[in-house]
Amino acid sequence: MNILRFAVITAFFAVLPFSHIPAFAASDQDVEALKKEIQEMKSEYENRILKMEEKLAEMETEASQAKTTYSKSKDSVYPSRAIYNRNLNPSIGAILGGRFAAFSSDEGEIPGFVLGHEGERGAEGISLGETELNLSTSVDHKFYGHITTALADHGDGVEIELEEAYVETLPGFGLPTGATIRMGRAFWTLGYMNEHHAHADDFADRPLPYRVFLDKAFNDTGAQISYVLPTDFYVEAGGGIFRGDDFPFAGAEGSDINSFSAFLRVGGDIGGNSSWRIGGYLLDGEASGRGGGHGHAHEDEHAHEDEHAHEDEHAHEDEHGHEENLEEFFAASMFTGNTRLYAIDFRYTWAPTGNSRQKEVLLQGEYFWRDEEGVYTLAEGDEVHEEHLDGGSHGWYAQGVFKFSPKWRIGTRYSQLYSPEDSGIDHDPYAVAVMGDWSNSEFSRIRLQYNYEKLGEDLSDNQFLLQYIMSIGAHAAHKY
Amino acid sequence: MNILRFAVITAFFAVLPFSHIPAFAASDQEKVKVFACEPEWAALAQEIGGDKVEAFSATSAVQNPHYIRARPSLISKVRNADLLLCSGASLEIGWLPILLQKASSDLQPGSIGHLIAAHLVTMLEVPVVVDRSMGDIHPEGNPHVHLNPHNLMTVGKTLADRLSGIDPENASFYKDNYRDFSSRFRAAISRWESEAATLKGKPVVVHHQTFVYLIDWLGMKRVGTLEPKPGIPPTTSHLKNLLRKLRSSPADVIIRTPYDPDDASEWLSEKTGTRAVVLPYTVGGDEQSGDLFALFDRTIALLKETYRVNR
Repeated sequence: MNILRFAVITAFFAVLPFSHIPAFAASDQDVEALKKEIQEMKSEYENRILKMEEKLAEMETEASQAKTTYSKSKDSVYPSRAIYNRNLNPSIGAILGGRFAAFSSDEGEIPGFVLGHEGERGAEGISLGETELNLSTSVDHKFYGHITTALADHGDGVEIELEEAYVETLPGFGLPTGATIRMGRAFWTLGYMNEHHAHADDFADRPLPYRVFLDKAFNDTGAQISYVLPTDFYVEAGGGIFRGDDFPFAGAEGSDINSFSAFLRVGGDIGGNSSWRIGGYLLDGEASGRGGGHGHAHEDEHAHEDEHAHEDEHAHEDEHGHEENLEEFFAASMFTGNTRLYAIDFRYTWAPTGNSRQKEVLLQGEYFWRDEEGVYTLAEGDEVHEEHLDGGSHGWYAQGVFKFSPKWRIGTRYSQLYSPEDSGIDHDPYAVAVMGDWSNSEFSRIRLQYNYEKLGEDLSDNQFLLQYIMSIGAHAAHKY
Repeated sequence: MNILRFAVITAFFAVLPFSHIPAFAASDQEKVKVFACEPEWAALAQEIGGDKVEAFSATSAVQNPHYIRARPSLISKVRNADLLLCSGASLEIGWLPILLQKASSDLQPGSIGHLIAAHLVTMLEVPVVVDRSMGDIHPEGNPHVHLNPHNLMTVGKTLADRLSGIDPENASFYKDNYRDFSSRFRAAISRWESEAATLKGKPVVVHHQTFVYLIDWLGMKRVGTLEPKPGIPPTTSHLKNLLRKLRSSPADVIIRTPYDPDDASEWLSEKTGTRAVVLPYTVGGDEQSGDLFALFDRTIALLKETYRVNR
């Protein structure tokens, strides 16, 4: 066919130069030859059409046979259909979020606690929040890789944050069944919320203990092993080692491992309609100059807030024994020392009708206790103060969410913090949240939330939050 | 201190390549543990495996298998299982991947212990274009394959092969059991098909696309779906359109599963006078549907009864 076309076109161009030769000079012989050629072409096409018709008939009978036998040929030993998200390309997904927030108070700090960058109250007004990009797929038959980047719009430009970048062993790796090793940066196993992305939260913001103890979430760089025991009853144990750079740690230097974690959790069902999980967690490490999240201690743009927060927390001690450049660096309050965090989490889910698609009750709570020993350095104008700290602070939250129809949910949450024992602050901060959300599908959700925060004796805040969360592309299954 | 830590970490990674040595080799007397995602597959495994298998179903008949959580108890169950038997076609996509992370390598896709019904049978409603705006769409086709009993035979045969591979000592037992099951089931199928001959061509309204294989098998005609799009709960405007349509060309019956909410189908039933019926959908869907045989007996009896009442 192609050759035929090529020949015709070539012939056409070849003929062009001679086209001035009077037309109709063709002899009878030539006409005969042309007719013959046309005849040949005609028969060739007819043959082709005939063949195609035969093929079509063949396919039709095959198809009808397939329908009656209800089974397919098995070419491989264990046939498997191509699954769409397991192609060679990684699964790609994005979370789009945006919100409108109105606060009655100008101040968002929590007296008695040093907030990291992420743990602060969110932006007021219209904001984009976090846009999440997820890539994940199997590396080969032994490893699985995942990346989450968050594009956070902080008003003065978009900040790219590498929230997760980890590889994980697949069961094909050959560890004992139930064991997994994860390496890189991830939302590590610590309490309930920490290992979940913020888009999966039931409220528009994280509760107070998460903001003060974890700076929203702990996603240091490191490695973690976890093992599900071969028991009928769910028991999972594990631990990790980390660089010690992410809040509540900071300033990791050299080759040392500055932080480690351990956890144990158990869970099970109660009847067919409800299930529960309880866990205990430990995170221990060294902080060196912790002032803000992600170890950005020296460039903390919110330094003044931290300073303000500690105005009344520490006695004005006069300690001028420090060099001047220290002041420059430590413009805000900094913590250097050992910090240890204990956490307990609890979650209970109940589907009143048995089918969680229709109605579901979710109860969840976490308790954190932080024990710190070290030195708080704080700057006060030109003066730098140091205060030795050896003590603990703790806090908890509890929440309940009720899905009363497939699309609608309501929920409430109470968060409580207890100011550090030696801080001299009488008030214990607390916050109450109420929310209602509507999900058109598994992939879209719109939420309205009201918060009442009483963070200091004279600090009360009424907050209204309107939020949307949408997911496009591949969306990994959520954990329990 | 540093050197100690370094040594520990190095040792840890040095051990990794040797970690494939089986840690917990199953003892011979143990039953083959089958983790079925849905009750129909647990029932099938029990038919073919008899007392040599222990079948567990992750969902019950009143649960929508699409929307369950990766509960801690399921993680333990799948972690200790020898064979996974599920519908597939993305029905379990919201929870099964989490469970599989903790399962043995023999349960991973492509392994002997990973058996997916949708891989074996002819799929219906395979979409040409896939887009989330079309609702909860399954790119591989409609996953509710078990409501055509021919599909159960197909899956049962492969299941017998897999069980023989996992538990070679009892290979002949599984083979015999399958032969026995298939001859009884084949006889039942021809009985059902003759009983249901009167249902051919009868118009039916469904809640969700869960009965596609049943309708296709019995030659019935789906004239409407209560959900505007798969997985999207019925809306007033959609139901009104459906009502208008059904007034001009009425259906014989409105069917739903035990886990579908009743409001939409009862409303439509009241408006049109067409009976709304809950079919068992799977084993355990009602008191009478105790096993796979009873499931189809009951389903066809319910449909025929409706038809008699309508007369």
